[in-house]
Amino acid sequence: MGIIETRKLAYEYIRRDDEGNVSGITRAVDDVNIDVRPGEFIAILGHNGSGKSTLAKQINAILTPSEGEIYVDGMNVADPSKLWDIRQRAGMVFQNPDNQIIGQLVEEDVGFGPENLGVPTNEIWERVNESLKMMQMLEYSKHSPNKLSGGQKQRVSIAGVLAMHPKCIIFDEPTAMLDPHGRKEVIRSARALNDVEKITIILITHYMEETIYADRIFVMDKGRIAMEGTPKEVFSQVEKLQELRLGVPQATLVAYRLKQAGLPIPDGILTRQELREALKACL
Amino acid sequence: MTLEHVNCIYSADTNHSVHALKDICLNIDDGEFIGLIGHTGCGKSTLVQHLNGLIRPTDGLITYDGQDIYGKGFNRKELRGKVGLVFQYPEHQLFENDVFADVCFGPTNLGLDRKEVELRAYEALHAVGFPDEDFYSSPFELSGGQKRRVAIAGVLAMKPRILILDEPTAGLDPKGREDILELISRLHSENNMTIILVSHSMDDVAGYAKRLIVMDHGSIAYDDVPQEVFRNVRELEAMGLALPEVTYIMRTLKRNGYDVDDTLTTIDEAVDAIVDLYKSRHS
Repeated sequence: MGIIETRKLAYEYIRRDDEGNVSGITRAVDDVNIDVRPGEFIAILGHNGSGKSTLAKQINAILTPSEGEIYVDGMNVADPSKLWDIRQRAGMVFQNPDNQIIGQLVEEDVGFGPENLGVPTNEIWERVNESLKMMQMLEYSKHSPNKLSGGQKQRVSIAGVLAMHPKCIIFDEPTAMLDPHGRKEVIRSARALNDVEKITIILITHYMEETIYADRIFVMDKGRIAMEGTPKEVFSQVEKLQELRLGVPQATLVAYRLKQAGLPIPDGILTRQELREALKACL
Repeated sequence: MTLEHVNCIYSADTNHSVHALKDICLNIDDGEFIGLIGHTGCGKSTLVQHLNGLIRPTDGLITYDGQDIYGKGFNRKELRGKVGLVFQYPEHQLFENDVFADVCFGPTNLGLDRKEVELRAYEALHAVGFPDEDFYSSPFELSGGQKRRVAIAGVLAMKPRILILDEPTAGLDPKGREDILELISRLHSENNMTIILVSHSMDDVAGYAKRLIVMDHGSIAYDDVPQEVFRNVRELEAMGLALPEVTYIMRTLKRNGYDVDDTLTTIDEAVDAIVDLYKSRHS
């Protein structure tokens, strides 16, 4: 069984007027069937309003499905008695680090999660140190979080999730507010957790470049999964992605345009190194 | 607009004092398109808030049309109409019941009569390409990209001569980013509006700005045309910034012995250069 499984999953936002009568329904997630295997690195792409975040919030039981089912590590998220187990198993990192950091000191912030889980004090400190070490933030454990850079704050947020010993981490646009250096730090951390700790990663992003190392990419549109495949498969379909208001990595776009201009360039180029090799072969 | 030896020190005379701007000298001419770049915390946002009088410099002189903006009798309220500032995530500042009322808020505060206010709001919503049929929708029911257009229209309705946008593309999908940048570029070319685009993405500014100002630790590190600024690769990377991806691609090719211009910054230029190279080798 997968770590995350959805069956005919749907979520509806219901708008009501002043009297409480239903005035409109938006189906944000519609008939989504996905199966994520333990240890996979999944990227989810989609334009603003395509349903990515609504899907993510259901995995973490912040929202419960309107229709269909979703299982996290075999537990049904609609079962209230499993709520805390689900949130421990599948942690979430949000877009704005300032909205998720609450501690006065970095180490207090990271300890907040395990403390809520009822972990004994000694073990809390062990977990805090271990998580900060993994995120290379141990030297900042006595610092105030609000003096850190954006990338460092996000790494503290990730450490806070790690301290709960999750099997899966969902990143909801973790780099949208960061500068290029901060973006690199966060993506590198996510990849390392996947490679070394075998934690399942679900990365939601608007930056195509961040998804090229994923095992699989899901592209969402109008609440449904519109495309699915490896980065090579997905990014070979430049026109379809543009129709879905998305793009492709810059190296892929250059390769695509060169091919249109008549150069013998293969499909599926994702990095500048691959582009260089393809050009070497034909120049 | 000019800045002469402007310094800004937050919490001066305490042991938490932060020297956010250090001896900034700057001259901004009518009709320029400037990209203001720097990593998180470099002083970009502090600088732009000085330009429309939101923050008073600790010392130094700021002039608009040759007049000291802190001089006797200078109307700073009028200045805020002339120097329009679109903050980060401006859609968080939408508050009215409908879109049209929200855009009317700025010009109403300038003390204009009702007819003029509504005329300007109508013009501004048109300028940002907002559909007529949604004028009376609640701003909270719009997509992220549409909300941002409404927020920009709210500033445009004050008819600014200088438009400053702080990270206007953050959090938008690729198509949304392109649309907003095209809109800004059109405001510049059609209305000769002076634009200051604050960003940490070189990819965003490279295709549009004709002058780049790079800030680092509160000082101006570079102030030049983009191609000249991008020659300082190591220094920019040390500041947590990155070159446009296209420039990296061209640099990789040059390092591998191909005779190409490695200061190109846009996809179109790069594709043309590689196609020319291919043709010259195969003719």
